[in-house]
Amino acid sequence: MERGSHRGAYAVEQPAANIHHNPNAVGCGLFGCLGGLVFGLFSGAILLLLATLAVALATSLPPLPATPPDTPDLQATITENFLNTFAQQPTDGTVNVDILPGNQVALIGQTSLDILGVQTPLQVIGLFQIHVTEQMVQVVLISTEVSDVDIPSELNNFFVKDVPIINQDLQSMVNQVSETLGIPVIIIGVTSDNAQIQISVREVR
Amino acid sequence: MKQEGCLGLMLGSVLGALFCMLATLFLLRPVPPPPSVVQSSAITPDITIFISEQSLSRLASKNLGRDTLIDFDPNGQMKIITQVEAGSLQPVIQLGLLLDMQGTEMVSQLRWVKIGFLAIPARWLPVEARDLTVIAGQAIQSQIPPDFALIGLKTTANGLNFQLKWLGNR
Repeated sequence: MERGSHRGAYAVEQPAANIHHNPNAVGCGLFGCLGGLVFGLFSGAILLLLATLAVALATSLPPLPATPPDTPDLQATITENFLNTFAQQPTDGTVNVDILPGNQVALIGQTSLDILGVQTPLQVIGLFQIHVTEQMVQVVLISTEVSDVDIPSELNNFFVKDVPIINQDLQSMVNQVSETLGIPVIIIGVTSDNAQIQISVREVR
Repeated sequence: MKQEGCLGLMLGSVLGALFCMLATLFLLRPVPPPPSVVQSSAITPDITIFISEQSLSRLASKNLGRDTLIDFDPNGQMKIITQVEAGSLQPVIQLGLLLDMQGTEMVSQLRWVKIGFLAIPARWLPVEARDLTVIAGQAIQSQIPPDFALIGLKTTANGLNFQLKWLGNR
């Protein structure tokens, strides 16, 4: 009887005795928590990196979309002022470039002509039409006008000698574009307004 | 002690994993758009050149020796998508750059790098990695003839516009 009572008393006292004999239980828990935190962070970071690398490896490079049909691969817009910079000036006068709408360009030359021993100033205007094929840009002389003076025969061909030079320069410009891009190009359009001219090309793939 | 320790370990693991997930969500957030960049010039250009992103992609692929895709968006944004070699692996990465002008020079600034689903801001990368993308702007700048100065730059959804001024003798 006393022994059972003694056992029961001992059993009641046991939890209190355990607390007194394990003062580091909270500390162990915290330490375990800290360890778990580090483990969770580390393993989470590893899993994250592996997952993103897997996605990066599984992703294929998207195909290069084709240029929309009406969009050029390269387009150059050149101003009238810039063209005037390169207009070859004659020794006895001046030449100005005047870009017109409708793919037309006027070359306005100021010169003088000896008429009956008198140096007469006059203006010569050459009107050119720009023609475009897939491979070439060419200018064609439409008309030559001389203001206020009957056209002497030597002025009928005032601009004729310039046409092949202009066409050659235009062709070498297209060739240079093709060389820069490293691929053949075709000309898809030329447009002009009063101030500039625009040339559009597409790559031949 | 063992029981409390194990409980703490489990709790800590859960907290650590949750923290990692929050960090992932932070990294997955959309990259904010760049500040508005004024790229047009008050000077009238002599020549304006447009080059499509398809042409630039092909040129970049040729120069780098591997398939590269260049995607432009307005406001100076440029994205380069390519594969890099990491040992025997070839992951696809994306670089987000900002094209801008400093005087008459084009500069490219790295803004983010995306690998898989993670977009890493450029400020988290070492300076050497950020400086590597400077060559993108230099490569484009090198296409401009020496007689011309770059006075304006504009990106569109289809490509890149240059505004050039002739420097030669008139």
